[in-house]
Amino acid sequence: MRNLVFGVLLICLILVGYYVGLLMRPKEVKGGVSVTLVVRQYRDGKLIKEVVEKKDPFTNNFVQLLWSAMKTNNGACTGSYTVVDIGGTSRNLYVCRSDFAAEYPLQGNGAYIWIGNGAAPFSLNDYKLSGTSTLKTTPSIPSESIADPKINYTISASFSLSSAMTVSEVGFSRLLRAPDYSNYEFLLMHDVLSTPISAAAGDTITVTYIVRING
Amino acid sequence: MKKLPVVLLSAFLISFLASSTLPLREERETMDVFVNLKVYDEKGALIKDITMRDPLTQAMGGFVSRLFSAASATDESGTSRSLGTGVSGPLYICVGTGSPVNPAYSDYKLVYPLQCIQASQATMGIAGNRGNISLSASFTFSQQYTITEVGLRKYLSYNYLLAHDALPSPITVPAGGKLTVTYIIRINSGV
Repeated sequence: MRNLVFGVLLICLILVGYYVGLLMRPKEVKGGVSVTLVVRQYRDGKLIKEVVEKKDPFTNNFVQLLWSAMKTNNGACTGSYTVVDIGGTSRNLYVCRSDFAAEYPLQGNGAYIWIGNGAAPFSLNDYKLSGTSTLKTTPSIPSESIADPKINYTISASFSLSSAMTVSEVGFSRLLRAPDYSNYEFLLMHDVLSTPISAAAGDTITVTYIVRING
Repeated sequence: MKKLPVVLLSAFLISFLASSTLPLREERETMDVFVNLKVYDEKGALIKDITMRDPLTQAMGGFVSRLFSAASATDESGTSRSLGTGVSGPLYICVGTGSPVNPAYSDYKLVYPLQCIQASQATMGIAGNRGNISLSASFTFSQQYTITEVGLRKYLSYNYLLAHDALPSPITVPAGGKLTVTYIIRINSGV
């Protein structure tokens, strides 16, 4: 009996020691930006399926856009970058132009969340969804929640399906203004779901992007 | 029987030490930001080389979220402003001698800035499905300084601090020495 008590006590102390040790580990410094995608399927108001993905969704268009924001210009009004619109046309946008022609691509106002039935693996050069059946809608205005040093931006959209659809990919696009002063649509994020969703007519699909800064 | 407390205490301590010294799992983010600092002595010899994951500030949050929608940020004077739609403006790397307790998302300026230098033109590279953007600046000091914080600043009509880091331990740059600071933004880093 004494040995049993000793054994139990020993195991408990080992577990407590391990747990306390985990709590005492130095905290990892977080940084950067992560994107979590949540896709939900509702039928008759009830949640049927939920797919949560944390992948690498940024397209080359996003890389180029961020690069343009990181460029340093001081008097020398040069610098352009090439992005591909959702129709597949390459377009030069400018960090700065001496004639000020559409110098500000971000003046293009508008964004869309897409769903589609394509299953082609993600590629950085994706400029559109790969599916033959796609839908897009305007997302909600991003909401933010801050718990310093972290912040979450949440963007979401809802699709009411009029016909059955396999949802296997999701995208985010926004309008950017080109030097011809026209707005064109560019895909910035593209995710291929690890588990496709088989949705019936009448189902509702909600898509939520959570952009998390500093982990 | 007398050895019982010693055995129990030893078990506790061993398990405590085992778990508290476990290596930290490197969690990758979709977009990781790192800062590298290299210190050279007056003869040009590398004497220190550290790389840290870089905490971003509210202004960088604004810059990123601006790619999705309109956004605002707090400038270095503490005034909240709409970021508008412009991107053209110089980018600076700053070093300081202040002691930020915990670099925070809400930071909008260095605690005690020492010097800001316009960064090199950002370079971009693509490898597979990943993108890398990097930019750097070199500081030379005629007298010895101990650097404790670094930051990244973008000027868009106003100064915005995009990233702010407290060094894990102060870095001393000798008189005549050089400090090179490089920011690396890794996109689609393989989460």
